[in-house]
Amino acid sequence: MTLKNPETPEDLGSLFEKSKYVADPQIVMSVFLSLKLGKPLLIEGDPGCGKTEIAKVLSEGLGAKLIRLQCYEGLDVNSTIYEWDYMRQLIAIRIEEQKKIPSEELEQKIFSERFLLRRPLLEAVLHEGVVPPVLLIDEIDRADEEFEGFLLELLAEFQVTVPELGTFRAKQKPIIIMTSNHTRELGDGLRRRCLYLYVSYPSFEKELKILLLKVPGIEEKLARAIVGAVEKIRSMDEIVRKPGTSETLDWADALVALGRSDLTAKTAQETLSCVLKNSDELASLSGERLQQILPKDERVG
Amino acid sequence: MNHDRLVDGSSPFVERLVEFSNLLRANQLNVTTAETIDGAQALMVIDVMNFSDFRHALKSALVKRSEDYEKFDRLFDKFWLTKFPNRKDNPLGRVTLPVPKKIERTLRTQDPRSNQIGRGRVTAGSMMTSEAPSAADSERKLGVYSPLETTSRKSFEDLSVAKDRALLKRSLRSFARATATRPGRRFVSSKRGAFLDFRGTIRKNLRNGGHAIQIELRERRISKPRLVVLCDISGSMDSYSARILKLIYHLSNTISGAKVFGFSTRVVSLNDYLKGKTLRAASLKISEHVDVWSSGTRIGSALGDLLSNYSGVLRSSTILVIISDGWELGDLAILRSRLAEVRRRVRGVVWLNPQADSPDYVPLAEGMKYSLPYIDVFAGLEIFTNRSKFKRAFKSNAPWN
Repeated sequence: MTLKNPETPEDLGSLFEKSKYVADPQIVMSVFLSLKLGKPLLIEGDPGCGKTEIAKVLSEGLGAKLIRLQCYEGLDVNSTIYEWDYMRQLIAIRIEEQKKIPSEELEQKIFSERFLLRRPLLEAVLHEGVVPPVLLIDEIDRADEEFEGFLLELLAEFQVTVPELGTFRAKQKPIIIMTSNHTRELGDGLRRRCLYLYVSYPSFEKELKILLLKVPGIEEKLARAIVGAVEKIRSMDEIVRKPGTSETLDWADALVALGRSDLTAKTAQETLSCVLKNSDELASLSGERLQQILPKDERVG
Repeated sequence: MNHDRLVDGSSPFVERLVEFSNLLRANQLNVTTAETIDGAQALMVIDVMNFSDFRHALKSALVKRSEDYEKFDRLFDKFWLTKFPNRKDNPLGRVTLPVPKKIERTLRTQDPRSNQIGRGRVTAGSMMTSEAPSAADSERKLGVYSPLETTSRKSFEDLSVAKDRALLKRSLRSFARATATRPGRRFVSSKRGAFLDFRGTIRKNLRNGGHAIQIELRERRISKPRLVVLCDISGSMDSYSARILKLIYHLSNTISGAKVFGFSTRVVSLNDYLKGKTLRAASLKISEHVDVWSSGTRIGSALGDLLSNYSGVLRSSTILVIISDGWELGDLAILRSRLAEVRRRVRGVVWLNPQADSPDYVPLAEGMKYSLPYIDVFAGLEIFTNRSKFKRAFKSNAPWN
């Protein structure tokens, strides 16, 4: 299933629909503008709300290669742009040594593209193909601020510099999707260079639609009970790590796999670890509190 | 529709867009010329007659922070749905737009007070007339922004240049140095390093035909801790506000990467207001924009906010500095569990209580009593102006030493 160059937001909407991604109009419009204007899209939102999925769906729908850069603290140029293949360089030096070639020539030989290990950003810039790649820079808020500063050059010029080889310029602009869990404030410079989209927890109806689409064999009654319970959990003050849509899907998958058709107190107690990943929070949701998240007809007392 | 004409610089349509950007800016949305240009470009590729698309496109291009979404929607409705009387200056020429029933219903719902919209037809000019008010007029007519709204905000009068400013900055630097002892992930060249530097060795030995005669070494660079300051700006801290403001201002501008948050009933990031300006300018900015100053204290809830919305700042390299008197209005059990969770995540917790500067101070406040087990360093604010107090507080207690 490949849809090239969606001409209207409706075209893009149908692409999302075919990929079973429930996208609201704001998501569709932001992605559409990003494609049309060739600007990176910065997607912020709580974990598990489908930010990364947007890039995957886009890559699949457009038939584009997905190049993913997972950010973490301490991420540096070696892991993002390029690294020299030191082992092969050493072997090459030994081989060339027999030929007694001048050191300048040797240097030129071993610092050539042959010994260059391409990392995601360079790969995106050097990509050759009919369709530009989708470059997913995931969880950019985990990377240091220095890396953010470095990204500005890429976003402004779509070029990267390798001191030994020169500057590489992208033949075609990659489609850049950046995601952030909003755990730290990103700089204004980066924001200015991007279009912006915030993805929050879905409404009851939207989450129900997602469950019915994504979990094969789930009954609507059970889906409603799960979505209702998750919605209540999210509203609880003592729950710090609110479950995202991905946790809701995990819970639904687990209940379907166990062959349950109702969300009873016992079932919930047994499977709640699909949505709550902290022992204190799991312990706090028992007894009276657990009853509150259940559908009315399943509550006891 | 001729889109090029729409975004032509001389087009009244662009004027409307610029006015709208001005209005957003006047309401503290960070909309620069770059965003306005994005907005104009976005309108070139969408059907501007589709009101929903029009809204979403401008939202994507002009708004860059989730917390501004709500304000944008409010201002968008007020600006673009206001019908202006003069239709001669219709920026879209003779184009008129019949309102589909669905949009009409939406408009009614969105602006119930307006009796001018939804009579069956909305001209494009009614949305985009050149007789739109200026930004100042817009503010007045729309009632969306007024300096009077800041009545509950704090004024900072005691901001004379303190003689101990230099000492304060020195102490802050010492504080940053004292906490920087942990080897990070990155490497630096070093003669006594424990790791082989492949890149350096290859470069150095090219002239030797690749024989590793001279070995280059490297070691892990000492990583600076990430300082996160959570500063109590509730009513109970009023008498210390000038001192605290001075402290967080210098801290934010002296220690790179420090994150400063204010809290009372909710958490507000203060870095944007504190960075690179004078102390007076910072105080004016804060009094203008931060509306939680002098409210009640809920430390547990603030820590919850920090854990939910800014959890990335609470890392194993983080030293969390809490500046508070410990008066807690919220649930003490929640305070304890949140503090325990925070302590698990960070490298150390420093609690600075201005009351602790008094020699007779005893931590009687309930919040303080519940928090003490999770605190590594407890001290008053004077540690930053009194060298011996600083040494005493950090020498034996700090877990990073």
